Amino acid sequence: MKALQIIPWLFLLMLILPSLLFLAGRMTLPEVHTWMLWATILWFALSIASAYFRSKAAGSD
Amino acid sequence: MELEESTSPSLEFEREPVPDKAQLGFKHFIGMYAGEHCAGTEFMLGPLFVAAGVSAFDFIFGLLLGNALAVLSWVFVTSPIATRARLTLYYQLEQICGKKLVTLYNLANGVMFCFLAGAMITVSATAVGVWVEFPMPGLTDIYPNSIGWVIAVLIVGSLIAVVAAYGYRMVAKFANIAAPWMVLVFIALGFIGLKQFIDTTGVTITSVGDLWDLATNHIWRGGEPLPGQVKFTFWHVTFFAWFTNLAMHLGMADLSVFRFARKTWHGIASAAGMYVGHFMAWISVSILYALQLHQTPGNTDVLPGPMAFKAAGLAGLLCVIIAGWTTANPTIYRAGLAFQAIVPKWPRFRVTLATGLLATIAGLFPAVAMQLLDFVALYGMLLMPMGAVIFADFWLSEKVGLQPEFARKTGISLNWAAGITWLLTLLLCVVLIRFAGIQIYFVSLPGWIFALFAFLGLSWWMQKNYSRKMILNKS
Repeated sequence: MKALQIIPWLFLLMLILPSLLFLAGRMTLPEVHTWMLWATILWFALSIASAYFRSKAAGSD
Repeated sequence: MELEESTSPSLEFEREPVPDKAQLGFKHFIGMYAGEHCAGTEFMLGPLFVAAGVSAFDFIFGLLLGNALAVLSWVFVTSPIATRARLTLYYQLEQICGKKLVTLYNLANGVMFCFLAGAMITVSATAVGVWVEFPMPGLTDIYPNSIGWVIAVLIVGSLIAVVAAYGYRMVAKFANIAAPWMVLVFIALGFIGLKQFIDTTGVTITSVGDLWDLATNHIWRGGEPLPGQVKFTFWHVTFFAWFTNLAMHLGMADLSVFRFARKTWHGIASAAGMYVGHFMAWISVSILYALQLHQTPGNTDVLPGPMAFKAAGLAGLLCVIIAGWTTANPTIYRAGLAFQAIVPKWPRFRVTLATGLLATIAGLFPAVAMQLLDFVALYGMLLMPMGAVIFADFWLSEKVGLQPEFARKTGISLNWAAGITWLLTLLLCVVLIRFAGIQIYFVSLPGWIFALFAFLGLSWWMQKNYSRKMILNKS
C-alpha cells in the first residue's frame, strides 16, 4: 500500500526530468515527448488506483 | 485563475460558523491554492501578455509585485474576517444585505461563471484542431469562423456539460489527482520553450545575464501590442496580477475557503497559487507563444492545443484538455448552483445542464477567450463592491455608530444602502473608463475604496431613517 502511494511521485519526477535534460541538450524533443507521455499514463493509472484503495480502506475502517 | 470548489474543504456549515473541530491546517491550503490557480485559463492569459507587447522587466517584476499584493490582500483583508466570522460569503452577505441582494449577486456571479466556463471550452476545443483539420479562430476573431470550429466546441462543450450535471464530484476528485501533474507539465512547457528559443536564436547561455538578454531581446521584447490588444506596461501587469482574483480576495469570495483556516496567517498559503499559477505557468506559456511569433511572425493565433502539442507532444495536449475540462466543470457547476439559488424549485441536474449549454454557446465565440485579460478585469470589477461592503460592515460599522448585519437584525430582505453602493460603484467605474480614460485594469482599486465609504454613508442615512420610522410606528 505504502509503495503504491510513493511510486506515483516517482512518475512525476519522470515527467519533469526529460524537459530539464532537453534544456541541458542531453535529450531530443521526440524522446521528451515519449517520456512525458509514459510518465503521464503511469501517474494517472497509479494515482487513481492509489485513491481507489485509500477510499476502500477508509470505507472498511 | 482558479479551479473553484473542486478542492474546497467542505460544503458543510453553510449557515453556521465553522466549529473548531472542522478547522484545517496550513498545509491543506498550500496544496489547494497551488492546484486551483494552475488551470485552463493560464493557457490563454500567458500568451495574451505577449500579445499585449509586454517587456521582460515589466512582465517579471510586475508579476512579482502584483502577486505579492494579491497575497497581502488575502492575508490582511479576507483571512482576518474569515477566521473571525467563519461564515460563507453568501451567508455573511445575507446578514448584511438581505436575501434579495444575495440573489442578485448570485445572478451576476452565475452569468460571469458561464462566460468563464465558455472560455475554458474554447481552450479545450483548440485541442481538437490537432487531430482534425479545420480553420481555428484567430486573435481578433469575435464570431465562430468555421463549421469545424462550431462542431468541435459543441461536442466538447456538450460533453463537459453532461459530465458536470451527472458526475461533478467524480471530476472534482480527478482534478485533485491531476493538479500536481498539471503544475509539472506547465513547468516542463517553459523549459522546452526556453531551449527551443535558445536553439532558434542561436544564443549561448552561460550566465544569468545571458538569460536576461534572451528574455529582453527575444522573448518579451516590449514594443507595440498585436492588433486589437491593449499595450501592457509594468503597472498593467502589476494591477492585472493583483486583481486576477479580485472577486476572491478584496471581493471576499474566499471567505468561504478561509473560514476553515485555524489561523489568520494561513491566508499566506495563497502565495502557492499566485507564484505557481500566476507566475510560473504564465511565464511558461508566454514563452511558447513568443516562440511561435518568433518562428512565424504572421501567426498571431492563440491556440493552446497546437502550442502545447508542439512543445510537449501528447502529454501537452492532454494537459490542455484536462486543464480546460477541470476548470470548466466546477465553474459550470457553480454557475448552476448560483442560478438554482434564484429559483430553488428547478432541479439541479437540469439547471447544471442548461448552464453548461449556455457556456458552450459562449465558447463558440472566441472573443471571450481572446479578450480574457479584459474579461477577468470585468469579472473582478463587477463583484468587488460587495467585498468592500462586507469589509466596512465587519470592521467599521460599529466604530462609526452603525448597526452591523443590518438585514439580519431588522429582518429586511433588501438593504438599499448595499444595493445602491453596488450600483454607484459600478457607475463610477464606468465613468472612469468612458470619460476619464482610465483603463478597466485600474478602476477597481478606487472603486473598492469608494464602495467602502459609500456604504458607510448610505447606511448612516438609511439606519437613521429606519430608526425614525420604527419610533413613529411604535408611537
